[in-house]
Amino acid sequence: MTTPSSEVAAGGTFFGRKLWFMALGLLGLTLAALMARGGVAPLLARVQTFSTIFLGIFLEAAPFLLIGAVVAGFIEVFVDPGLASRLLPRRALPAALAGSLLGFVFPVCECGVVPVTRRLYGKGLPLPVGIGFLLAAPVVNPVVLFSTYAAFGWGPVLWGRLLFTVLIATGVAALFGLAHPAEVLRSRPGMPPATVSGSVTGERVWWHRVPSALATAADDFLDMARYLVVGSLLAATMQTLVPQTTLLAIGSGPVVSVAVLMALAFVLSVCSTVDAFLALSFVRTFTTGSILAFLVFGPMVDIKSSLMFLGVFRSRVVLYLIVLPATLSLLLGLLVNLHWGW
Amino acid sequence: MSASRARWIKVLFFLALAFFFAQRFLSGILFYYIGRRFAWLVPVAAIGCVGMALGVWLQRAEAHAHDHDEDGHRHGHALTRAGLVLVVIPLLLGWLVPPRPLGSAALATREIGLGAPEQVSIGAVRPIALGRHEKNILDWLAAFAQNPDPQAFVGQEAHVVGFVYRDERFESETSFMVTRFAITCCVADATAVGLLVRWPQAEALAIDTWVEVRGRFDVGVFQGQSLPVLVAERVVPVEPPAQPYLYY
Repeated sequence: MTTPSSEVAAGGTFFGRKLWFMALGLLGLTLAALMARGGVAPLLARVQTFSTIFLGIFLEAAPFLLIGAVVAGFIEVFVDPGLASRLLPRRALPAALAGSLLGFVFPVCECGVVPVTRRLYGKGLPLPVGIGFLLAAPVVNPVVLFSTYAAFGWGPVLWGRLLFTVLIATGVAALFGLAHPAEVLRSRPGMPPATVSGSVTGERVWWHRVPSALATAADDFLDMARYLVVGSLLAATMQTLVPQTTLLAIGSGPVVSVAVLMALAFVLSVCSTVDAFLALSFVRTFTTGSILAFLVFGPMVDIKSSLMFLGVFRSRVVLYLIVLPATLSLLLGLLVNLHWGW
Repeated sequence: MSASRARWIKVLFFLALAFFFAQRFLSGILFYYIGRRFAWLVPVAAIGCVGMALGVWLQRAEAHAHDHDEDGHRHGHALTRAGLVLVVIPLLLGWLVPPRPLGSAALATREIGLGAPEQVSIGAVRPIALGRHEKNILDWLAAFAQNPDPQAFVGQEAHVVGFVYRDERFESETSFMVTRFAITCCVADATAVGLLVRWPQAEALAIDTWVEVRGRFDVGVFQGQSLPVLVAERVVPVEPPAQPYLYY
């Protein structure tokens, strides 16, 4: 969903430029480092290796990103958000749980979830439902579970990701359910100007709105593909330059590995539909707990989503929305590594 | 950039991306990058890209007809010059750098597996009904993992395809490693596996050459470790296989 552009536009450009420099820097660094190792023939071979790994991640991930974008585009244009709000429970715990599972109805990724949540709040969505949805929907939805399955198959990573996400999202949302909405939400959750072809207008035949949905999807895809490209560049650089023995030294520490991958998830801001493919780079060198923390925490909180949170919640609340999931993810990651030994 | 120009660039970008996806899939080069299992998603994505290009294009026509001003604003924001440069990187790398499956260059940062990857030894061992000749490198390593006694394989016949790998650990000029990369999902999780081969003319084989090796196992020592070594009877250079990677 691109509608938050009115407020986030400036931030978007700023980040666009930053991302661009990051990408160029990565490319330059890689080339320089490859040159330093000498020889033109080996240089070509290593550039080819870099390119193959980069495109491997990109080509595996892009279709999932595209599916996610198209789904979000169709929700944006076709679904009346008021309906869900009327059907959902209001008491803290059931509402929190319902919110955490709402992603199965609205399969949006982390980029789409903030605008959708804001739209739903505008339609009278109970507070805990929205927070549960905000935190869990980027993972608890068919597209993301499918891509996680594609990357990791059935196993602890897939189930752990689903379970931990629902657990953390429900917990945090139930906690906020005890507060008064006015303490949590920004006084006027600034609804974006009505979209051009919102479902409410509905005066046109449905198939007239399909191009609109696809164009929205195209914008979403472009927005998110930037983060995917930077993430893939970083992963490919790492795989081409950093010896696995070095990674192993960091990645086998049960505590350090979790902290490192969580920080990486926050910085990379890669879309949840495709982060599983980036996590594959760490499979052989990092602990299971750290990979799970990467896959659970990243979709809930990262640079780009926490900026967007500010458009919906009071700044103090945004801080809690970052700290609580971070602490809980770290805790669960450590439990997996130190006690459960997955 | 102006809204209408941004739209045209978007349409062009999605058409180019669709072409890129379709081209990788149809040429089979896709298998240099990702596994078989989800390769079908790439042509689906190509169709999706055409759909999005159409969506952007049709909406453009519509916006002109209805003169929807805010519409132009909304979509103008989505495309910055910096953002465009970023999303074009995959196309540039794909078209400018000659595509090539992972080879020995990728081993510079990796250890080569003389044993089977963990997952292989647990579950993926092929049914015994497979003849010896059909065992690939991964199957052999799985067999070695199941029976740690290298003596057990002495005299068994093997026929494998892989690329030549050699580094400073190979003191003798008469041995090399016949190597493949094994992947589960895509090259991001690639791991190298190989069999040690003894062959009098090993020195003449350039690194990364694809070869077909026939021979029988004997017990050898590599870096102080006793393990089955394939004593080659025939080593023939071959074309790289259409599926450069093994799967597990």
